[in-house]
Amino acid sequence: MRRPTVIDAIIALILLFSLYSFLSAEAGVYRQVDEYYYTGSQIYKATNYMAFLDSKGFLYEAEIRGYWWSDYLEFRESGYVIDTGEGSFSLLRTTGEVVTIGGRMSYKEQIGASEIRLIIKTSSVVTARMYSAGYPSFDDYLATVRDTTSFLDRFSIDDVAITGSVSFDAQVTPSRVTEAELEDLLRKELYYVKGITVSTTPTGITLSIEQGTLTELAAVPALLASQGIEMGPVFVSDATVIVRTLGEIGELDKYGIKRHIADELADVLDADENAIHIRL
Amino acid sequence: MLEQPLVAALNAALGSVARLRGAPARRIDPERARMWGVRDLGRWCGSAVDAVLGYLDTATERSASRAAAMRMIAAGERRLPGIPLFGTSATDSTIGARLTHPLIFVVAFIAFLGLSDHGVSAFAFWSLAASLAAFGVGVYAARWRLPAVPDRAIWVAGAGLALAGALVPLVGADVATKLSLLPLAVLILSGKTGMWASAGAAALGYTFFTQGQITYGAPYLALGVAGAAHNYRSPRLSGLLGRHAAFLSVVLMAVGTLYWVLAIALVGRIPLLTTREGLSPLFVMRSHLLPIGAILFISVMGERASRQGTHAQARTLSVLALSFSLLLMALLGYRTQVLLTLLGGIIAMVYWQLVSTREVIASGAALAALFGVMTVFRTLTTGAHVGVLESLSVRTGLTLDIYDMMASLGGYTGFTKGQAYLASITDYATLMPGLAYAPRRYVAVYAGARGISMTSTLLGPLALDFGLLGSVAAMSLLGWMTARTKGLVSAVTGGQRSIVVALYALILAYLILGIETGLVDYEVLLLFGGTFLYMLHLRRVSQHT
Repeated sequence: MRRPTVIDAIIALILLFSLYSFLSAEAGVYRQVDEYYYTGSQIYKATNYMAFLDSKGFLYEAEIRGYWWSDYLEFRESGYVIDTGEGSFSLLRTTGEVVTIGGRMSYKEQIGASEIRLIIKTSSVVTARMYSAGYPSFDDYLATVRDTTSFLDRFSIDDVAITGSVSFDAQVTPSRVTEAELEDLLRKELYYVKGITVSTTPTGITLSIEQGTLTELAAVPALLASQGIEMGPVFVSDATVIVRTLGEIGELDKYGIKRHIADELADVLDADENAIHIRL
Repeated sequence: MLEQPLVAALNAALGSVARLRGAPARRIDPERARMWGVRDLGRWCGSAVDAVLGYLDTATERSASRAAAMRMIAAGERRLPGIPLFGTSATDSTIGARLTHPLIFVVAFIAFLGLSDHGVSAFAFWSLAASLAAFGVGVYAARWRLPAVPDRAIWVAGAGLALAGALVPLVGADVATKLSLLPLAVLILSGKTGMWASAGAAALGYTFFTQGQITYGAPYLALGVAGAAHNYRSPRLSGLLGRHAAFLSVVLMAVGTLYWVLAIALVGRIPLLTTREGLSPLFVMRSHLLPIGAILFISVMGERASRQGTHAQARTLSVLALSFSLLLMALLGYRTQVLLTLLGGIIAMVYWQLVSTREVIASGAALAALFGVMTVFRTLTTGAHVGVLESLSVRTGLTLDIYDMMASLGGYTGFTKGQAYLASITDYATLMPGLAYAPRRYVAVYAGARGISMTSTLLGPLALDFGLLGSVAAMSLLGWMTARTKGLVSAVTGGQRSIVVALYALILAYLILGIETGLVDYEVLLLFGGTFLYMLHLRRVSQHT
């Protein structure tokens, strides 16, 4: 038996190092940047990034510092971005009012921003297509969405948002005025909802929802009831379900999520690999 | 005497960096440097390095791991049945010699161009022609022996260096750096001042580099390190590697296999049958030591066979090592590594007469078939419905189109001045936020795409970074290096020869495979850089022993 030399020690060190690097490997979990800062002159950069976050389904708040162009008074508020354009965006204030914000040299918008801070609230997002179906009530629909996505609870679900149309029978006379009144009411009362439009037909009402969170949408039946409209059984179109998590989904978890949907939820969600998007 | 110019140069470098930053300059005291005695320090360092290498040599010789590796090889040679040669040895025929000639790269490049279904612009065509011709000139120039630098030239070069330094306030640091490279190269090539000039250039380059002045630091550092390899005449390092080449090959294979297992364990599936997504790049890069080790192992077996006449046994062990490496790399889903193993392995086997001409042709067909099968697998897993031939033609056309864009963007002197290559080092890639996190992604950005990587032939990144002139210079250097490495095979013996053959097989295989993908991966650049330095050092050692 030979006595170990320094070369044997080096080989043993390589072995230990490789095992250590394996045990400490995080399998590609990204570090989430949770805040972005832009000056008013960087409005195009800011709106581009907002559009990017919206398209991926991430939830974020915007903190704006600037001036009202009407009276040059300071504007300093946080709000929810509900629409983005070329160099401007619409901000939903906590009061339910919507204001338009432009850059430092803007003149068309209500507010000229000098600072824009985007606070990202979501770590990861899972987006899937949920098949259309009828439900006994709107609450049942929301409960089904919640149950369907509950397998992601281990990543601490922040909230689930949906984009789709909900139709239900109602005694209502088709009228643009009624639609506008209902839209105004819902817009003012629902916060984390990008957009909600109402269309009335002789047989009922259709709500088109864009990225509305389940928590916010739970209030819809009561809000409509306050206007004398009862939501009975609903039919929901194919909807995009966006699950926003507080915990970070790892690179390797993606495969497990897709497999789970294919094995367990294929009758509710589109299990095609390309129909499920997981943003880390 | 040497302390003063060295300290003056370092102080000038620190001073110019401080001026650029607008910060107070940090200076080295010449008195303290004289106290150290740079010449004595250099000699002491040389002896210390030799002593460490001598100790490592003895430690390796007596190590239990080496003994186990050698016992394993001996057992394989003794117990495994030998495979007879089908046909005559490839080295005996002209086909074998031609297939492993450096100019096979030019032939393969022209064949690649022929696969495209459409042409390129006139400028891209002439750039391609000039670059390939430069490679040929480099191969031819490798036959020339560099003349010794006369003593008179040392003083002229010294004066030139001083003049370049003096010109800094007039022409700026950028031009002065370029002007100083030629006299510096003369000093490095001189037998008298070579090592000192190399050490000085490396120290200067390092100083600039660590101060964030990469543009000035990189040429000095590269010249200094290459000069040090050229001027380091002690046979200790090459002797150590040569004596323990067999052990080294087993260690490389073992470490590569270990990381292959860990990479697979981390994702918990076979990437070839599913997807490569999620694989740890670090573990995959380390697992690439397996093909390198396998090719070195084949070369070592060939060298042993040429001494002991055990060709049949060497063939068996070589085929086993090759198959093992091929299988593992194929399961990982990396076509390039599979082809590298096959191509490099065959080149090494041709050199050591472990394969016949008939077998080389059969392997070539297998190579094409394997590429086709793996492409089909990839198209199946990615869901792209394209035929093999159509896929080849479209891919080649697209790659050449991107090269066309890069050539046009780079013009004659380059556009990005080295940033695309710098992006191969992850830490430096972040210097260009939002643009590049890898050279091929960098190329893709300039081709109008974002978030994906694009190949632009071996010449694409060169054209983007350094333009037509840079491409010609780099290709002639590549040709010179490849031919010089091949020429070195007959100049050395034993284990050193097996290492040189393995390195030649690897760089030739990478060159051929890099025609489409480019030589921009960190590990590949390291391999080429290492081979270049080892070739310079070994040539100098072989001239003095």
